[in-house]
Amino acid sequence: MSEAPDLRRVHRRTLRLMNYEDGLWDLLLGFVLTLLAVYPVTRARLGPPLNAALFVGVLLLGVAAYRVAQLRFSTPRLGYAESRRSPALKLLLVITIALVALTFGLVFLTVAGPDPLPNLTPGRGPLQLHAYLVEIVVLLAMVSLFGGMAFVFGVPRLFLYGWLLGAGNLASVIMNRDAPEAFNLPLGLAAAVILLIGLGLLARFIRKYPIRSAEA
Amino acid sequence: MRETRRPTNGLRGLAEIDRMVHEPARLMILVCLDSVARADFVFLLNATELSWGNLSSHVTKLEEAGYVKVEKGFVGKKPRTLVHLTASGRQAVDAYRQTMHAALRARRR
Repeated sequence: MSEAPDLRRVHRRTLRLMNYEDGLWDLLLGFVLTLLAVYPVTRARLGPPLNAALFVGVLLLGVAAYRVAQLRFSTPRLGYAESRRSPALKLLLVITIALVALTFGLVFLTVAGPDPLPNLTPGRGPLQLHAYLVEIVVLLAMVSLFGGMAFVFGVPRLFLYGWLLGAGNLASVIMNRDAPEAFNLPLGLAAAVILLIGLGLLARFIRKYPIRSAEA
Repeated sequence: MRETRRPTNGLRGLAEIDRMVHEPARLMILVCLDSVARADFVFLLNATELSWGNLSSHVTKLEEAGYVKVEKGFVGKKPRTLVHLTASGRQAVDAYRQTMHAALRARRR
């Protein structure tokens, strides 16, 4: 080993290996978006309270499955590492969780709220920016959040995810104005793209990282 | 245990740089461990892309210098070796970074 290592690259690679190398995080994100996409359909059939309970239950199951898959499937291949909770990382984590909660809350309210239709001025067409202010804020928040994560962790696809989520949400509000109980196609398409990327990453991960035998 | 060197300013600092940290393979191990709380050997292998023997020999040197601590244990019946930076190891990485930044700044002037 004679070349001088790029320290920032090593740091980013370490963070990327811990979270984004195996594609499981992408699959979880795609799964959550799929749930949001079918939410209007199940709400129409089950009613809001039962549907919300079902949504939370399936979401928790998905998170549990993600953790189990990480422990049983990813750790034997990639190794075990614990996150370092430095003060800067804690602050970053708090900001990230707050932004994610805010954004998903807004998306959830848009998709699941009792009146998802924005107030449009009659006779001025559907593209009135002021009527979609919340969705535009969500779009900007998503792009900023995921763009920041893409930069910090050195994972460019996260930037694409930010656009997919934000634009998907905006498009779903515009497209589903007249059919609030229909399948949310834009979010469904975003979910499909993210799930496909996740599956591709998972397949690459399995090929690239075989299970290592017991330590020497 | 080695005495952690304090960062020195400018290009002169390069002459006194900690060679235990400066070696590329060991530097990668230290930077990787600086990004996590602790990691096992398999993770370090993937993160640094060193061979098992190479990694093992460098971790031993770093352990002898007091920069890392190695803990051997078991998960079920499988052995697992966890490695983490000690306080002096973290200090050594910080000092190295500061010395290198100072040297690069001095060169640009």
